[in-house]
Amino acid sequence: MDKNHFLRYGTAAEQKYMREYQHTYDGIAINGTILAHIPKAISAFMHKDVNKKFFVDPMTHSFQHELDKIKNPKGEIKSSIKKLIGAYGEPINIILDKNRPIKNRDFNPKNKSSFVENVLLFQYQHITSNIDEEYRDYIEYDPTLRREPYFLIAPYFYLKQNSLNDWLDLNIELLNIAIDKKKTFKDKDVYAQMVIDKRLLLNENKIDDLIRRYSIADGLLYWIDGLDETEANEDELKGIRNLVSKYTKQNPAKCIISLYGGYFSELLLKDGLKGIVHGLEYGETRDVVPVGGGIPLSKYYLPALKKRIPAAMMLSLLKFLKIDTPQIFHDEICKCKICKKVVVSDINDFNNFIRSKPEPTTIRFNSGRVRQIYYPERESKELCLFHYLEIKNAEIKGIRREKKEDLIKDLNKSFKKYIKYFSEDEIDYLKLWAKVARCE
Amino acid sequence: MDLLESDLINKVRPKFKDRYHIFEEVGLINRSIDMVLFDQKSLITIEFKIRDWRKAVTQIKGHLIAADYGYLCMPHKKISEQLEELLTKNGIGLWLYDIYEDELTEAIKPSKSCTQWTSYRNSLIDRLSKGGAQ
Repeated sequence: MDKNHFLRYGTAAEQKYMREYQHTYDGIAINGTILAHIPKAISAFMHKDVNKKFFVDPMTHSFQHELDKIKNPKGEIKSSIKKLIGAYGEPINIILDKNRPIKNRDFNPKNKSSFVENVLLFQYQHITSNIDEEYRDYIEYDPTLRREPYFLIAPYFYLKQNSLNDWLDLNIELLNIAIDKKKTFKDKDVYAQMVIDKRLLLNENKIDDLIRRYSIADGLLYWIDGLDETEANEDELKGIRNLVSKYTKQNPAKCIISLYGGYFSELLLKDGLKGIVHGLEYGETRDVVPVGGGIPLSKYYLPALKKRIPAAMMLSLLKFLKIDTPQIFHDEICKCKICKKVVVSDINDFNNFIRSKPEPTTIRFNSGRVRQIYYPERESKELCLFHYLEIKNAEIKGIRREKKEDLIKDLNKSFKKYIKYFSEDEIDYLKLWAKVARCE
Repeated sequence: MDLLESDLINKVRPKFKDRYHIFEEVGLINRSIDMVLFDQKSLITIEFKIRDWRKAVTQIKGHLIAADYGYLCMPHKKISEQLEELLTKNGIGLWLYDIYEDELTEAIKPSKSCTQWTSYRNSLIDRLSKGGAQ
């Protein structure tokens, strides 16, 4: 099985964790927007701090949404998006010139070609071209130090059920142009990125058509808008599995990678999925249209449930299950090296995962409600993160090592154990994942 | 009539004022509890919800690491079997407020918390006694 466990680069502040926990992942996924925003920091990080394969998501779908989705609170287009527009050129600059989102009719034969070239060039060289002069000298002396993406991604736009035809033909045209330009980029593989409305998953004919058309690329990345595996219904989960297994059957030598997924996606590694991407504790689900970063609350990833559990609920659960010594905690909950280091002398040591700042921050929600939120202490957040990274690494190794039947049995076992505390609808995804994974 | 959670809190608050010390927006780990009632003997938490009671049940289960009793408070309506079952399973009580009659009814009695951590109860009481929220 290929080693394609990617972590998504989130912020410059997360670099130190990605550096320290390099043993827990294989590669790095970098969104074009963050690369355009802090190219020097990312370039230095990728060249000097980590020796990992990477790819850059060109984020071209950002330009097709209503402009309020890409504006900052002052009502201006976000600076990272502006920089990306500068790099990609025509016809994307219409956003700034005409103050409207891009439409498929804005593309013509001439600007399609230059747009594709600019998008590929950005992925190919933006990291290396932003390295400091001193390191550039090293690269000139030893070209193997130059960091190039593992593969390139053709420009893509989001496919919605009710406007599929508006964008699909354009996506395929741009993909064809990108494939034609491979020679300019040392014959690097060109992948397609398919970002779809989850309703499309339920339409088998449409999915078959999408697979057929996207199979011209060297590989496929997919992102199902807003699909949360712990809340998805059986048909949606079957739809994802169907997409992966059909693509793999038709393209056995090619790579298909899930861009936002949790444990269910990891299980699909048994069905032909070749890679997964997630962020540092977040990013197992993502809406196409940004809805903000959310509030960073303390949550502990409970390995048996494959889910992050709020701090107070974890304490309640420990009491309920009568987990009152470190030994029982390690036997019943987690024995990763972080948990062994944190929960040592007493079960109260678990509190180190969930400490919060003494002073609250006032948050005004869209509903108009104002609430006091106590942000987690940095040390607690880090411990939760390190535990998460260790467990994700262990999960993927386990999936590579174990038989599928045993993985399915474990899910059902966890359901039986935890249903005493949780309600059916809180953890029935475990049964559902097992059922869908079992289908032949 | 569209009732907001803040309206519900404002209507219900006076019902407790003679029997309990009332605290609102009280921090517990990184969340805040809508209302805490304390009478030197019992520590009671209430989460107010107009809809999405599932989320509230999850929050109240968390409150019970410190509280003796936890309640959900909603506008008066016929409650579903599912909600009743969930509250009973978790020992959570239910207050229903009738906006037309201005009446608060205890529809489900809570059980004493079996997931309480003495350290969290003591620390919460300590903070409340000092008048602090967190």
